[in-house]
Amino acid sequence: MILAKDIRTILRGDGVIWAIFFVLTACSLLAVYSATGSMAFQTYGGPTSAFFVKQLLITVLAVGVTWGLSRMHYQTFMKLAPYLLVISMIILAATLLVGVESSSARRWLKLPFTELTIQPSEFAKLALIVFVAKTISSRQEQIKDFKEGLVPIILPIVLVCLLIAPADLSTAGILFATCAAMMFVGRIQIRYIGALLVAAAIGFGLLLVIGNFLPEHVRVATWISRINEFIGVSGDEYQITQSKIAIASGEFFGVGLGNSVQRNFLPSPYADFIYAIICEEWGLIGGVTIIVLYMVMLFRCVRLATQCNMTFGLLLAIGLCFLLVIQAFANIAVSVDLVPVTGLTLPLVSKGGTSLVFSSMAFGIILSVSSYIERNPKSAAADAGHH
Amino acid sequence: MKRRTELLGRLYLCFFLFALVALLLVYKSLQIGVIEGEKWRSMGLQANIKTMPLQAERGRILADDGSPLASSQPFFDIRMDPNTKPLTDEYFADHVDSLAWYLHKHVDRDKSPSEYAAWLKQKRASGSRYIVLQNGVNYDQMEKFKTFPILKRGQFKGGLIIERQQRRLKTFKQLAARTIGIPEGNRPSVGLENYYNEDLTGKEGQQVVQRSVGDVWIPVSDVEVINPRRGADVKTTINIGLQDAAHTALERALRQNEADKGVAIVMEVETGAIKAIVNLRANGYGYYQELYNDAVGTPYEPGSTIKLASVMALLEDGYANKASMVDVDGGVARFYDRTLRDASPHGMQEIDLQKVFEKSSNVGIAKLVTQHYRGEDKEKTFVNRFKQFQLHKISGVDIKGEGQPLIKDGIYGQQDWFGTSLPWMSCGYELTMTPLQVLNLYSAVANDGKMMKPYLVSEVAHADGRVITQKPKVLKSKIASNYTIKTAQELLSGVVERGTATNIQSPWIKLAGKTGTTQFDYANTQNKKTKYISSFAGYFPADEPRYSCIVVVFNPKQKDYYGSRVAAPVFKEIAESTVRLNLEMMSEFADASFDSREVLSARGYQNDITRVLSGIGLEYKDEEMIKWAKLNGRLNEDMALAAINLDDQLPDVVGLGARDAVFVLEEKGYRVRLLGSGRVSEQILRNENSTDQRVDLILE
Repeated sequence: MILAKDIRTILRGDGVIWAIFFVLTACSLLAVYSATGSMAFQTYGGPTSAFFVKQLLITVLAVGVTWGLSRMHYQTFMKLAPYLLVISMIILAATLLVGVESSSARRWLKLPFTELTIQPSEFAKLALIVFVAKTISSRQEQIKDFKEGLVPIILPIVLVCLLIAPADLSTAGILFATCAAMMFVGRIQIRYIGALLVAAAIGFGLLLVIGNFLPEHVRVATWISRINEFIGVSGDEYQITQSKIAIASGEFFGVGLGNSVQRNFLPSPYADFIYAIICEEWGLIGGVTIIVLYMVMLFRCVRLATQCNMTFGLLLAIGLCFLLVIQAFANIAVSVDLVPVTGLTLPLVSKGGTSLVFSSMAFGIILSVSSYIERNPKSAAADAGHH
Repeated sequence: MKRRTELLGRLYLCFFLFALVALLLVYKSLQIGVIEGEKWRSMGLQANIKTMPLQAERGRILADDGSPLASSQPFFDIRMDPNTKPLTDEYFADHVDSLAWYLHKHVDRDKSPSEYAAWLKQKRASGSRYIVLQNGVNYDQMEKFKTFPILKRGQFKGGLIIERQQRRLKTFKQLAARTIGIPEGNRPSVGLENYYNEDLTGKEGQQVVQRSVGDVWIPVSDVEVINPRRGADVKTTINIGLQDAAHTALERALRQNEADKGVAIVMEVETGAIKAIVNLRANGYGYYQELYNDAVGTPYEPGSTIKLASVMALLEDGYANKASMVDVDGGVARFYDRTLRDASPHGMQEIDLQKVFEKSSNVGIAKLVTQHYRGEDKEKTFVNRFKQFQLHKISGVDIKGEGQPLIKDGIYGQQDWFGTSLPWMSCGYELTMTPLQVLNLYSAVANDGKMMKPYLVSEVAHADGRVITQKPKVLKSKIASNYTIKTAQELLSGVVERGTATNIQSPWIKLAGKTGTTQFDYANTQNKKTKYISSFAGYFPADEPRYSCIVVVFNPKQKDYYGSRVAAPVFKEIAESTVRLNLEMMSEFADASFDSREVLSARGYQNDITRVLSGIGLEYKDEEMIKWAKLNGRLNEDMALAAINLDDQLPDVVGLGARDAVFVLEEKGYRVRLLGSGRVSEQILRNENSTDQRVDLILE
């Protein structure tokens, strides 16, 4: 079909991943549309349509970013990797010292001469994954060696995670987990990874100690209270209870778009607890579909790996995919009461500009890899047949 | 190839682990949504979270000039959640002492800072989520709490809980208190607060609250509220100046006459707008209060004031005119087994109807009425005339609980209709009406026969800008023929000119009306002393009526009980105060009736004097550019303003009003003490030799 062919020339890369990308961004638009019907918006009247238009513009920007990156050769990032990493470390350190505080977490950095604030950890996530992918792929020969293989990879990971952790433990956690998974796939010895996990635990302990001396910089109190909440010590599980009520209220087919009741009771229903609201409005069918979409994306990346050699591009795609899926599952796990409340967003779906743009960048790079990567002759032929 | 296999193997393993997590998430979703579904769904409906109404600010009740008669004042109850989660032990420990110090300083000085600190610590330790810091604080005090240590961190982080409440305040306390009414609350709602409750209430907002320890509901932080919509402002027809004047005059009369209770109503003749409505009852503690709306709610036997209706019936039927003669037999007549007497014995025999009315002869009225309406079919026609005058109908004023008038049907042979019914009814007995209903008859006569519906509210202004105006309504466009109305007006003027109410003639305004002296509780033979209801109903100015007014005094216990002696002077005082409040009313009258009346010499601020003089429309000679002046001369003859000197070190302020005198003296640096009220009659300098000199002003 000519039409399909035209689309293929415009949207380069894996078609299924493109489809998933569009479905998820559509979900985010619907969620914001629904938000304008909530009690808060009804109360203040105000320009609810303007609010929706703003989200629409961000979405258009996000699609543009994805499209642009998908057409850019991913090798570019390999060359940029060391610089990106150094820049991200500097701004992370700056944020820790002079960042803007919001909701008692110092996660934002105000851009000079503007009113815009950005979340440097989002940028650092991408930079670190690019760097780790580059290092693992370029050191495949010595990868089993401690000094030559492990240390050059592990040092930047530890540094970046330590810089993020004081203000945003959850992000540091998922980033660390993503890197560990990449290292695992990248054939680093399992005992080293095991040792690394132990080191991480010790690092966390150290952080707690530091936090006692610097409460303004490390959010120890919040972590403890959230963990207490989770294990039921405090007895007050307001958010979780409301989340469960939302999930149960939707039953299988949901109460319908924009009809959520629980959005009035849940704090930030369109970010942290969006999965619960999706379950309420679109039913369990909708909720499970979201989980399936992320798994299909992971599957497409795994499938890509079966078609090409162990290269920077492949590790990059897998790393970014891990990052998105881990964050998504962590977000959902909060809503279904598997882990303590974290404040992580559901990539692409949650309301919020920074998160949406950086998630789109991850998608763009994955699509770029799927488009430009060199396939093994045998599987490439099979793939061509598929298209 | 080995590398590739290893990589793929590890990747598949990762995928497998992810798939397991995904399955776990799906399972958890299903567990919550399906297996435990019922539990969570019912909890959603259940009571640990609910939306609570947010009270809307109640609208105000306003006087005719827009000034508030009743308004809601917000006040706040200050609570604290000492165990709010973000409040850490360290932070609490660091700041609890300074919070305690602030509480000691601003809330309760009798409780030492250490007592406060111990109390706060104990409450935190015991897990309390809701402690009372202070109740009933005003807005400024509430704002102060927001600056206290710990609390300044806000509701979520500092545990500060502010609960907004409302208190209803009447600006003028007792003035028209019963008519303004009481909103729904501990006591049953009455008055305009009750009648216009729906408009005044506004629309409730909503807030999400959460059940906390001890069955207390606290607002859930982070969740938005729907703000309430303020209630409508209800603008009444009540004029504060008139209401005040009527209240003061009636209260004084009640006190002087040791009466049980009294009513005074002032109504605008042309529209039916009630400008003042006073209801005073002895409260058992030696003074009078607005305790019940007798003006609207209590029917009584109106007595002689209803003779107006009897005479109008005779006139309508053509049975009599002003000159019709009747023998009043010295004031005593027998009807069947009962003797009817005039209020006091007199020697009059054959007099005309005009005199009968002016002297309020019961015998005269009863004789004329029985003479023309006696007989099986005719008695009903007399009653029907009363019904033509709308005496059997409620007025429909906007106060709930208006008393139903009782007018018998006048059907011959019926159980409630006796041989004596006709004569007694013609004199205002065997029928009951409320003071407002009686007044409305007089008002209609003053309004050339057009009966208006009495009303209290002219405008309801909603918060969204919608304004509903209530226009005057006509109850009956003509209650009697022009001839009847005109004659009735002449008779009513005659009562004040020559009749029972000559004592209330006023130099400022011409009055018209009718006295009423009703015996009541006469069936109770135990009473040693006869009880009376003293009343006066009428209107003014007599020639161009603007206001109608009724004064009813129940059971005066001093020597006077006649309507002319007890109620009529109150009527006069009210009428004169309307002149004071509407200077143009006087000009029409003063020009015509007063020529060379001596002016009380007036001293004061020049602008004030000229404003009064030109307000009345009097001519005077003026000096340019003076500040303080005195007025000399006779009214309309060589009146002139002359400058007076108040620039001495100690100016002579005798003759000035208190406000002017204080202004002049304080400008010179004296402290001033006022004794009494009125104008300055004497001034005394104290502490002459000290630096702190004071002037005492004796006012009269």
